[in-house]
Amino acid sequence: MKTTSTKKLAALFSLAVLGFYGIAIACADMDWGYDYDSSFTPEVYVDASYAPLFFAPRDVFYDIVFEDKYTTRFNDALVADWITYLKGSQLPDVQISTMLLNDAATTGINDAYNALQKKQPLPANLAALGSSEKTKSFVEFLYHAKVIEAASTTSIDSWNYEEHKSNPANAVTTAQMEKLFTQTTDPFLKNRYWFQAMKGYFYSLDKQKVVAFFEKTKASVPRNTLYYRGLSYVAGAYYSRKEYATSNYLYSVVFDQCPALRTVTAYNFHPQEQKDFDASLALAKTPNEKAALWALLGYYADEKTAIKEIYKLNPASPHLDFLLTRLVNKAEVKLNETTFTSAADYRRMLKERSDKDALQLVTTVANDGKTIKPYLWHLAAGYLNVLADNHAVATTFFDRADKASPKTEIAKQQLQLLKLINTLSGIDRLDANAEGALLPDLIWLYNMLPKGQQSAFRYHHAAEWSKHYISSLYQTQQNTVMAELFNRQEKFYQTPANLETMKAFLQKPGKSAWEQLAMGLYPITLSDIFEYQAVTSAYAGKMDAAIAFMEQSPNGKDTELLGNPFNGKIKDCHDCDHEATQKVKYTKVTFLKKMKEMLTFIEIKQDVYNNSLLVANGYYNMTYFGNARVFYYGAIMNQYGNYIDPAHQSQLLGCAPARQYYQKALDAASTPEQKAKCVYMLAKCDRNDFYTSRYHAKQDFYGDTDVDFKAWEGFKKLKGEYEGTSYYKEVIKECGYFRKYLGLE
Amino acid sequence: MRIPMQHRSVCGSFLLHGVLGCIIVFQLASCAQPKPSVSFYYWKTVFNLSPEERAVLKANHVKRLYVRYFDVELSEGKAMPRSPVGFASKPEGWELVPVIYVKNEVMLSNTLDIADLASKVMTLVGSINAHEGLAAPSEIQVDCDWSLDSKETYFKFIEALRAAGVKTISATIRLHQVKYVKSTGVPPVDRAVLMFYNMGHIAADSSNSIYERTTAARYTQNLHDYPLTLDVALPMFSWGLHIRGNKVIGLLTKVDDNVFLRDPNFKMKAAPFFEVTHNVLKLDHYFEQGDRIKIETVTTTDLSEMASDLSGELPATPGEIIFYDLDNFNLKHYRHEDDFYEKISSAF
Repeated sequence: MKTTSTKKLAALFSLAVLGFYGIAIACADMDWGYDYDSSFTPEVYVDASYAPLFFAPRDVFYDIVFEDKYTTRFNDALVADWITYLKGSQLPDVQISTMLLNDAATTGINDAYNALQKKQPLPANLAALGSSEKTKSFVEFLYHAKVIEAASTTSIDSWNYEEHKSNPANAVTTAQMEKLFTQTTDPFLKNRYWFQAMKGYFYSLDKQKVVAFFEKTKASVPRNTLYYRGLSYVAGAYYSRKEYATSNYLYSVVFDQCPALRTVTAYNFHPQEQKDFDASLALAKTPNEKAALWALLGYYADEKTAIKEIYKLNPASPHLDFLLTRLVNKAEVKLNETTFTSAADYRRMLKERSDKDALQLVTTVANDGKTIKPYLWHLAAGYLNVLADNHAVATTFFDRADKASPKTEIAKQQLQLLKLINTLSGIDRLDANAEGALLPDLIWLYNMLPKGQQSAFRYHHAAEWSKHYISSLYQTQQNTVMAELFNRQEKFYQTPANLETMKAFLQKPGKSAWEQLAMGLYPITLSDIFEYQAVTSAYAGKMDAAIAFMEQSPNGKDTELLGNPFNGKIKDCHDCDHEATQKVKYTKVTFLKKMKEMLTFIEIKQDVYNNSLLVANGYYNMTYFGNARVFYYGAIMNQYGNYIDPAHQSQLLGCAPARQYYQKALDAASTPEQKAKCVYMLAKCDRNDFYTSRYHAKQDFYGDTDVDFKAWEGFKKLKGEYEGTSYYKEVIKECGYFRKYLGLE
Repeated sequence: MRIPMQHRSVCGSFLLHGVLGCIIVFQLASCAQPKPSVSFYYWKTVFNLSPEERAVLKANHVKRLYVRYFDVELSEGKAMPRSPVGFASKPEGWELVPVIYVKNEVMLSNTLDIADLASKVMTLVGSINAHEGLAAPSEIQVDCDWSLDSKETYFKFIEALRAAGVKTISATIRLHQVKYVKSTGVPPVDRAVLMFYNMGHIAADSSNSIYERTTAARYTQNLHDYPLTLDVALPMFSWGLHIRGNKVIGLLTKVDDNVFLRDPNFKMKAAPFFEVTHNVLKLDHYFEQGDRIKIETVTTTDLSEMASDLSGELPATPGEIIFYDLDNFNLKHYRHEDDFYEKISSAF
């Protein structure tokens, strides 16, 4: 049968109330994996029934996020129990399952029940029920249980007001359940009728009746899952009358004895005040009951105190393990979220921020060796010592963990990872020896483990942290190339010396295995560097150098530009230019060569107007405002969006080279039409400069601009001197700014 | 309610002159600057007024209550109602205005059927009223912190509510929606209620996210030009922020200084902070030594200040001041005068 989800409803209600305030307390949490800031995988050693209770700062429950099995958790067990009970009957297993779980089966069950009551033959479709006493009992049980179930489930996803109202269980049916519980001698059925009566009383108009019924009957009920499910109802009834001490105590008993209900009990455990918890402890009769209460408190509030108290009560308590993983995960996350610039800086941070109490507690328990999984404690003590900068101590703990650890793949990987972190974070200076010692483990970490979250094993933080740490060591040793290879810096290539050193390194033959590993991590290739040099040379007007560099960039040179880069339209419409038919399709390198060709013609005074105009268009289209942004797209410059990094603004947003050649074209123009065109193009440059200073160059620019215009010098000239040209009329037709300037709209 | 009766009698005497005459006289009467009436938001899931709440309503001549009927949010991608209000006592003696809080996510959903949602909202409001034997409401208030991306859908939703038969629709307006009215737009409602609270960020510093005069001043200068008639919603709640390190990790609703003053596990520091001196469980939260609690509250002086500052900026005297929210805990902070809320509204 289904159980209900009242607690889930309560949680949603409280969220809804918060909604009015428009609050966002949790700040911009992204959907990062659990190994974003963790290297300690709790799944390695801990019983799966505790898994949802692992540390998950951004979720209600680890991995499952929310508890969503309220109505389905026991379905499989329920079906299996009844199949066993009905063994030998004519009912196929599938039909047993359908009758138990499928709401649509209710009508058939009612028909069968009525027929049996009247001693009439069963309907044809239910013939399989046969006439065995057990199947009759099954039908009778289902007939009542379906009525109780209707009261225990409500849908919150409904626009029907009535469905949001509570629907108390039918009192007559509940009384009948109690009667059948009392009368039935078959222990299987008796147990189930007991549970139905518990459920009926819990969902009745007076919840408290479940307490009285439980007290009256508990001695005769076997301590099985149904018993603990029933006990949860009792805990809920106490909670609803605000007797938190008893409620929490009973939940802790269920938590302890019924692993399947661990998430439910953890979710419902809510000591409102300190006195509630203290009173719960007083109700606990045995050390293990007290330990269960501490375990829930550990989950709810304070792992450290919980571990201390449980350990005093029973060092072999199984609850210690999940609490330990929470303690370690919390401790590491606090440190792993901190950035650092050098190894010394990192050490200082560890000394200042590591949790000394946690370290001492875990170290002591690990050394005592009294827990049921000593290797987990050795591993944790080792890791906390790593995080406290005690590398030699950590090593001894890892060695001890290694000897007793289960021989699973994930356990092996976990130990290898923590040992690597220990070795690396103990290194102050990288030399050939250190590199050699680290190499096999780093190859494993970077290259052999799968990319992306493939399993529970947490290693992505370690991968990122190790690169950062190694880079910081090289930075201190002034090895800029190696520092850059392990941790790419955006500004690295803005220093010309860096560029040359990196080129020399990448071209160097006979690299060591360590160097090859580093190079394999690096996202920039030699081709990217040549392409970057080509592009920056082109902006500087050095076309020969640009062509020479571009020729050496196999990945860059043949990249096609999307539109004709020599277009100079009235309106900048990139999409139109990209879609237009292009007789010649320019690549980065052929574009540069064409520019060079025309620059040569200008130099020798051949068709200066046309060549200057086309070169100017080429320079114009190389900018952010032009149709050939692809020209500057590249891994090093990394300017793909609307925001241009200040370091590249003068190149990508500037119009100076275009302006120089538009002016040259204007000087060489012989007709008013030609002059009108040049004047207008210069106005476009004015406009771009205006947008640059007003929007793009501002630090808080986020990629959107208002439509704005000014009376550009070019507009004035166009109106004042070239009003008679047909180009003037075309501009009026196509350029809204110009129409506004003229007062036409 | 003396003022509305005057309106009725004036209109009544001009009955033969038709509706237009009425409107003109109404506007003339408005020029006499009637004082705003007092109302409250009722924001609990079960409507059940305590004797103290009833006394406050009586002392302040409250005739209307704005009752949160339900929220609308997305559930598996579909707009669904959440926690519809239940009535443990009959709301007799007050006109109820149902308030529907719509999460912005609903208006951002690209699969939303606007007309269908409006119809469902109206049906559910109707069911709730039918269940309680209440007459069909003459007004519905919609509360939604709409954004630039949801503006269009939200405004269409309001139109759809109107098409579904709602006579008067009001909407809450947040301060940023007044300041940036050009981009955020004006909802097509009959009346707007300016939410004059929650103006700051929830933060670990000493600022007050509910109300701060300096923050308010950044917005109030734009009130003159707001194109809708504005009533005003004022805060009368307090809460605590649970701070660990420099992060706010929890919200403690309905708490004030008194909750911590007598507790030896908390030490009062420079206002508005308390510091946790021992690990302790309290208020269904766990407080760790070194954690801080920030109490954010709205004093009687704050409320007077709001009335004074706003009345200088609003284009017209508001018709109604609605206090958020009616609740015993909140009321005890303003208990020194029975008609405190009427006095605040009279200051407009």
